[in-house]
Formats: sequence, C-alpha cells, structure tokens
Amino acid sequence: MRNRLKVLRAERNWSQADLAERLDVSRQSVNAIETGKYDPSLPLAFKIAVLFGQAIEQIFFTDEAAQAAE
Amino acid sequence: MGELSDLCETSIAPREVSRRYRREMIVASLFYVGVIFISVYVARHFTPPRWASVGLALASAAPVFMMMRAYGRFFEGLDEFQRRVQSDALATAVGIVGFAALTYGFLESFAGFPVFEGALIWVLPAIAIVHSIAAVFVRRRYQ
Repeated sequence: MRNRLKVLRAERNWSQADLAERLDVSRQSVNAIETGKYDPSLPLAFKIAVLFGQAIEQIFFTDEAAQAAE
Repeated sequence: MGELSDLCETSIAPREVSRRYRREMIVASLFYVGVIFISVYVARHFTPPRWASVGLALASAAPVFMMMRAYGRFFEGLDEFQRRVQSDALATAVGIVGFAALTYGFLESFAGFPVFEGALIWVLPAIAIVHSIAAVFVRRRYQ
C-alpha cells in the first residue's frame, strides 16, 4: 500500500509529532505509515481520512494504482 | 516480560505506559525474590507436607503472573503499530525458544545429551529475554 500522508501533512506544516498527537498514536507509528512499512487498521485509516477531510481511497491506494497513475 | 528495548533509544512506548510497566515489574520482581527466598529456605530446612510443597510452588509462580499481567497492561497501553511490533517480537521469541526446546528435547532423547532438571522453569524467562532482543530488530524493520 502507498499513501499521501507525508504530502497532506506537509501541506499543513505539521510535523510527524503534530500528526501523531492529532491521531493519538506514536510518532514512530506515523513514520511507519508514511514510509509504507506499516498499513494502518481500518479505524485508524478512517481517523486519518476524517482528519484530512478526504476519502480513504484518496489517501491510501495500492501499488498498482500508484504505478498506473505514474 | 523484560523489555530490554525500553532502555534503547528506539523505544516507542508512551512514557506513562513505560513508567507504569517499569513500576509494576519492579514490585513483581521484589515479590518474586522474597517468595523464592522463603520457598528455597523452607524446602531446604524443612520437610513440608505435599500440600505445603504445592502451595510453595504455586506461591513462587504468583509473582510471575504479576509480571505477565504487567506486560498485558503495557501491551494494552500501546497503539496499534506498537502492538504489531510487540506481537511480531513475541511470535519470534516463542518460535525460537519453542524450536530450541524441542530440538534439545530430541537431543536428550536420542543422543544422550544431559537432562536438565527443572528446565521448564526457564522457558518463560527465555521467551522474555529473546522477546526483548527480537523487539529491537523488529522495530528496526519498520523504520
């Protein structure tokens, strides 16, 4: 899975720690999600989507979808 | 269970969760030392009836249950990613220790390797130690 978390965060000038605090998770968790090393659960993905005011599929997408877009 | 990784800079558990875990582990460890001291003293200097021996054995295990409960509370205090790290490390530890114990059991049975009396006592501590080491490596995998 890939995601636009880093871009969305940067648009708001939030640090990983800022985002982690808003999501009530650790900074390392945000880092692992951003780098694609860890895929969040559906509840956390919803929380992220709500926070950024976007649909989940606008933030998270498969590798195939990312390659097709490129 | 021992959390060696708490001492490393890669530790990611929330501070208050780590603090509570450390406090509960210290209390359980002190209780463990006291109970073991009494149990060993009684076993060496007296010949307690069987029911008392069973009681001593169970009393010795009680602090270990406290440690496991402390780890359970520690685990509950983590976020989902941290739980994943802990789960992966625990699965790795159980696999390694279980496989090592099984392999040595075969060596005992078929190759005449020395039989360690009371070896079962060391299974849980071995899992705890390997878990602590595995957690450091698992965490690095996600960085």
